[in-house]
Amino acid sequence: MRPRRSAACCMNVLCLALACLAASPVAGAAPPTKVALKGGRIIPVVGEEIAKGTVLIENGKITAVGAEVQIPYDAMEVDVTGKVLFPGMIDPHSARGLDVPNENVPVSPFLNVYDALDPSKLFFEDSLRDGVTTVHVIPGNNCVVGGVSRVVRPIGLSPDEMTVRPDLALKFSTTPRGGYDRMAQMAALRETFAELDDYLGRLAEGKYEESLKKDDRKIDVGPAEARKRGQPLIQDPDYDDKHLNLVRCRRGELAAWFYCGAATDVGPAIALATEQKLLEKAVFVLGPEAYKAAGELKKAKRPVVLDPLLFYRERDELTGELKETFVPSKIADAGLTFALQPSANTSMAERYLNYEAAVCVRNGLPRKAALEAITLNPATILGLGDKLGSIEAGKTANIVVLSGDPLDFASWVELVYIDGIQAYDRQKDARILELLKLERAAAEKAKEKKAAEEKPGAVVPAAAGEPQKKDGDEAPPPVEPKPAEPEPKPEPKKEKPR
Amino acid sequence: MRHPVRGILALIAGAVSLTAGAWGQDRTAIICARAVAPDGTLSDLGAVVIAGGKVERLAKADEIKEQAGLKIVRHEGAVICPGLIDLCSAIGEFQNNLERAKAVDPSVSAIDAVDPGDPALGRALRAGITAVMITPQPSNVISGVAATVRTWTAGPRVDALRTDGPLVFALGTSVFSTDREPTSRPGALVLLRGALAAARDGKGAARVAQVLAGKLDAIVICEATEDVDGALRTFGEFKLAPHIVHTADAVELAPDLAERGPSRPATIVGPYTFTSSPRTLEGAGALERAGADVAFTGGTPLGEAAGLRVTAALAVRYGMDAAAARRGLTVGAARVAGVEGRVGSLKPGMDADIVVFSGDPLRLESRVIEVYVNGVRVYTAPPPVGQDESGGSYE
Amino acid sequence: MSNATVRTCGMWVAGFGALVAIAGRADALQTEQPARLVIRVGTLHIGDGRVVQNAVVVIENGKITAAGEGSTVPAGAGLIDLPEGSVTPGLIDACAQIETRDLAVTRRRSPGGPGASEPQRREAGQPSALALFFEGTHAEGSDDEDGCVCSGVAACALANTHENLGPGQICPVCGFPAAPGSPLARGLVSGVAGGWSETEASSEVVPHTRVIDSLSLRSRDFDRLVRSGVTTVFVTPDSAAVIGPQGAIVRTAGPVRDRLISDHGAVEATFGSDAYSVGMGNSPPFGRFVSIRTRRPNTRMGVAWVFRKAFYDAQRWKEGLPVGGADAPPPEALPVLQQIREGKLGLRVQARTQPDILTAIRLCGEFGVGFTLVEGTEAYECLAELKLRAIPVIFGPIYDEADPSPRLYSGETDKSRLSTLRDLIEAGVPTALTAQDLRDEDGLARQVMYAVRAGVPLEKAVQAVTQTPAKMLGIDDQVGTIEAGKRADLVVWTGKAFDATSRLVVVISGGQVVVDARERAAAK
Repeated sequence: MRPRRSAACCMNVLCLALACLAASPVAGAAPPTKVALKGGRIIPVVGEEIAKGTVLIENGKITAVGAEVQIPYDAMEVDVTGKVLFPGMIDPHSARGLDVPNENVPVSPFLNVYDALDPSKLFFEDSLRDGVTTVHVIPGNNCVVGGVSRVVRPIGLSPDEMTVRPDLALKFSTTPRGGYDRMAQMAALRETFAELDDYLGRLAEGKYEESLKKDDRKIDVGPAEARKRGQPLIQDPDYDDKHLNLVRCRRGELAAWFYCGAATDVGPAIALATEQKLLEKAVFVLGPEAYKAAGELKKAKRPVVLDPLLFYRERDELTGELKETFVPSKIADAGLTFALQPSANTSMAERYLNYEAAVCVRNGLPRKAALEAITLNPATILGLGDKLGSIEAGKTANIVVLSGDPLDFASWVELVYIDGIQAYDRQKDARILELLKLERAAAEKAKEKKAAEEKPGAVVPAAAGEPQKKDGDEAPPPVEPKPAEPEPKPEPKKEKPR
Repeated sequence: MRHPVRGILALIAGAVSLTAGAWGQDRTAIICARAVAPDGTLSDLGAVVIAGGKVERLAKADEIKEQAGLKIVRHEGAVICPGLIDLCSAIGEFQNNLERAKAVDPSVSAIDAVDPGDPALGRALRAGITAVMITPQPSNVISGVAATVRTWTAGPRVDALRTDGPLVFALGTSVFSTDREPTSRPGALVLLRGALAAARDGKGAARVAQVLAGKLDAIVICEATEDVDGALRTFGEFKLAPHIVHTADAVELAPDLAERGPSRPATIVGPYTFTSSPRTLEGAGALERAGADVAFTGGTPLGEAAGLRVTAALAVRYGMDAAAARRGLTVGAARVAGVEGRVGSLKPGMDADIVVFSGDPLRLESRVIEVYVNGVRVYTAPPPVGQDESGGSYE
Repeated sequence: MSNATVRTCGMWVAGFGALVAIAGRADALQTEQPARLVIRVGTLHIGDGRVVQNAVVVIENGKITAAGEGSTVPAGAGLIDLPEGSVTPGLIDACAQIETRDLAVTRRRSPGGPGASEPQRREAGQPSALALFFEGTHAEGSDDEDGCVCSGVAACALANTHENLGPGQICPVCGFPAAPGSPLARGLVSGVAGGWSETEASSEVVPHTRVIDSLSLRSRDFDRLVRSGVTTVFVTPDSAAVIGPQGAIVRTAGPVRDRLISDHGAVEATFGSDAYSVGMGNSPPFGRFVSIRTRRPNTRMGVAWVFRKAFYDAQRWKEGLPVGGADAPPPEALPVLQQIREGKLGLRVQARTQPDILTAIRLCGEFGVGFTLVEGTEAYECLAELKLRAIPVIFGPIYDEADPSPRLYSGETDKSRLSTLRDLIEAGVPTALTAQDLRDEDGLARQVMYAVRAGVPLEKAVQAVTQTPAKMLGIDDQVGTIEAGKRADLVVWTGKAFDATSRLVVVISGGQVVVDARERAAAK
């Protein structure tokens, strides 16, 4: 067993990590134990919205949420007036914290992402920037049995510091890995469990024989009986690395996460999970087309994680017409608990979980369901529903401060609190400042201001460069005369010959 | 007489016929149940009287009476059909017709590439195809002129029905090359426009000038939708309406390919196979319903010779009118090839290139029984072994 | 296992039945629509920066006859009534690359295939979308379509049949002759299917060719565009030539015959590495086969040389002097180049990096040719120059990191900024926004969302996809704004225009409803 420290005792180290992110407000100093986020609109996900209220954080936990909260005298008050408080979003399935998603040994239950987690991956920084406070790092989909996963926060200097929940799940895939077909995939999966049974039998037999040896006795029963008698004698250290995690999975200590890239992979996954008694803790990670197996998933009554590609597009063979299916609607219609996962493609808006939720609302899902799919549902799926996924007293203080509504694409993540510690501040995020050229704009503004000061009487020009906040409630100005501005000259083009 | 070789060929044919002891004096009557009429329907004028290598008259089966000098051939339940004509074939010239040096090469002629000894000619004949229009490969924007030849050959020469047309144009990736222009569709159309404009201004090739003057018909082999659009647009600029060869998206292009002026240019589709997508297979029917004349190419010699008949049968299976499909196999194809004055229909005075099928040529179980060329039986199929003879016909 | 497979197959069939087609084909909907159509919405975006609340737009005979504040609906008119909704002019993409073959559409294949999303492919350690794009090409030919219509050379090249053919031999798969070289390898690098570019590659100077000649107005890509609200596009060639073909201005909907607005649009020139790497690319004569592609340019210096030489030769041609020498443009190109010089035909220059933008400004200035800057990834570095010379910009797409595409492989996108459009607009440079080859969810509407997220006021962003491109294309008398007398190209949204939570429900082109997803919106 590897040494594992509890997460709570890492505060100081955590703080160091924050300093590295250039995001910590008080680098080097101990974080305040009590923080009050005051004056913001609170979207707690569970319960009613609070138009203007306060969230009180004590020792990394939320202790009070409400319009009127008594703020202790020793709490650090943070004014978030005009901002929106939202639970830290949860990435339910990602291999991007690893150096390589998959080992090229197809059946590798002995692997643990713990050994490959790289805290310095840009991915974690990006997660923070996008308001994700919890990431479930799990081996990729290109496997038969992938290895053991771990739930982490995107801050910390080592896997231990990052860990929220070690050893959550074992990854399986019923979708053929690259270069193989479904027959080979399923054969490998069956072989894995057949070999496990065989191993366990032999182990039990050996243990029984061993126990007899103490009394100088020889085996006196048939192999079946010997295995039966030997079974209770097996202890955890007896299992070898290859089989331990499969045994833990069978015992329910590890959840079984199945990747089903296509609808045809869902049936075998459910059948296997049922047969091996893994269904109770099974989660199905679906490809875009797998929604077609919603009926079967409904019968299995297990939660699912959806593909970042929320639409499934298919061309009619005959007419060439494009048919478009919005996957979350189909999954919601089947009554399944689902979580959304962000896209790995940073050029796409789907990298933002809150945008994915907005797309769900756009396509007919209720707002509540969409918000739950990026907060409470993944928390529940990860078995952390009592700790994460909403702004409620008693839960871990993972809170995102947004500049606007989470479903407004123009909203930016302003602040991120993880375990009550401020882990991100947009005003200090060098990358965003560079991408948006905010730093330069601020410098120019300062320069102009200085110039204006030197020339008494000159008018200070209005700030340019700061993104303008969109305010939905504010009525747009009435019809005004067309603003004067440079006119683009038409590109000359030849007359179309008639 | 446009064809200088025709006389010689007629002599050869005559020589052969004389050995059969029929030509010049005797007439032959082939009596079957029905015949494919010039309009493509199956008429009950199921008997054809042949004299002097030509169709003399058509009659009902019971109208033919035994008489001196009339040889009577009877096939119960069979169908007489004009010899089928396969278009855009590379038969007899395979791998010999790929001239790629110049993208605009109207001066080459497909007839010069034909090898009379090609066994594919015999295979085609045995499948009921009595004539093929052979084209240069569509590897140049102007590929050269096509020729139409009989599949039955006697001696070292092919029996050409026409050697000087139509002029074959091609658009699509097959004309691209890295060794010369064009490498692209816009480049190909620049060349095409240039060639047509030069001919209009009296500076171009003679054959292209003939096309512009309406003296030579044109056929454009188009790979993709945009090639068809490009062909229609470009030829339209010069007020020309060529025949179009296009299969893949015919279903979508049908309205544009139909009704293109008084010359009624045809659209050639095929080959269709049993693995073609339904969208492709619906093309012929869509064209026919939109009012276009449809003819077929069977894909010889790369495909089976029977591919021509399968193509037409699949077109009917996917919605084309049966009579129109039969026209496409015979008189329609003859019109595209420009030989409709000699072959392609059973009318008095036409060359007696005739196939006797055991049933409707559109039905797959119909067999070729006999093939006549210039009124002479050149092929008799061996009797069938355990074959189901119950085939009816499409009406 | 076999049982499970059988079971899931049955379920598939059932699943197919449940599919929802969100929009019919554009033509199919154009039946029996009332002569007069009224749209009543909460917000009207005129397109020129103005907004009207509680507005009504009246459409008669394909034209807008009235637009402004109001609520009364004339009798006998069809009504689209969305009190919460908004209406914007039909979007105009001034630089759209049209996918003639529409290969990017998902086919039902095993996951990890084209059906899988990019992250999954990466995660699964499988080839990128680009590689699968070509896998798709092959599938197109081999198992889904006829053996004989397998897009010719490209498909068989992937099956390696063409690789094994000798010169002049015919491919047994497609019946087409052997293609020279290895299009597969080049295709993967260049992003152009099979290595064949849509741009004529026999010369680097091909302004006499026209994009319309390689364009299928029936391309499914237009359906995808119109579904994302784009009603008019300037179809741009790919960037394979130094001085490329003339673009085309087309409508994305309506009868195919009426779609073409102009087939003699501006000529697109390319500054930067695309000119010698997109398509089959050029090669120096060292250690390779010499072909017509053994030529300039192979560097940025070469690009500038070819560009300068072309205009120099056009000048000589005009003066009746002989034209020739290395890299002389084709004779057909000379009159067209001269037209560009005389301002009778537009010129666009695609340039991404600051040095390329500055080179374009310098060379065009040398010959007194005005131009429109296209793409302009680093335009934020050249604001003063662009403004000084009144060079309009067609900027886009906006991205954080480029997709796997020719853009990414050009290596010219590293300094992309989310704020460039904002900077251009604030600097007073007339700027249109384009999505180029991005479609569907990722299309032009999302570009507007990105712009707003990066701080561009919504009205300015709307203007950048409506009025500004219309003016640039010289079609602002017909489209681009919602004003009486204009062609009725409109997009209706369920909520705030370009908001992440509002849907584009109705698209109207020429007064005809070409996309109608109201039923689906109501089901919500």
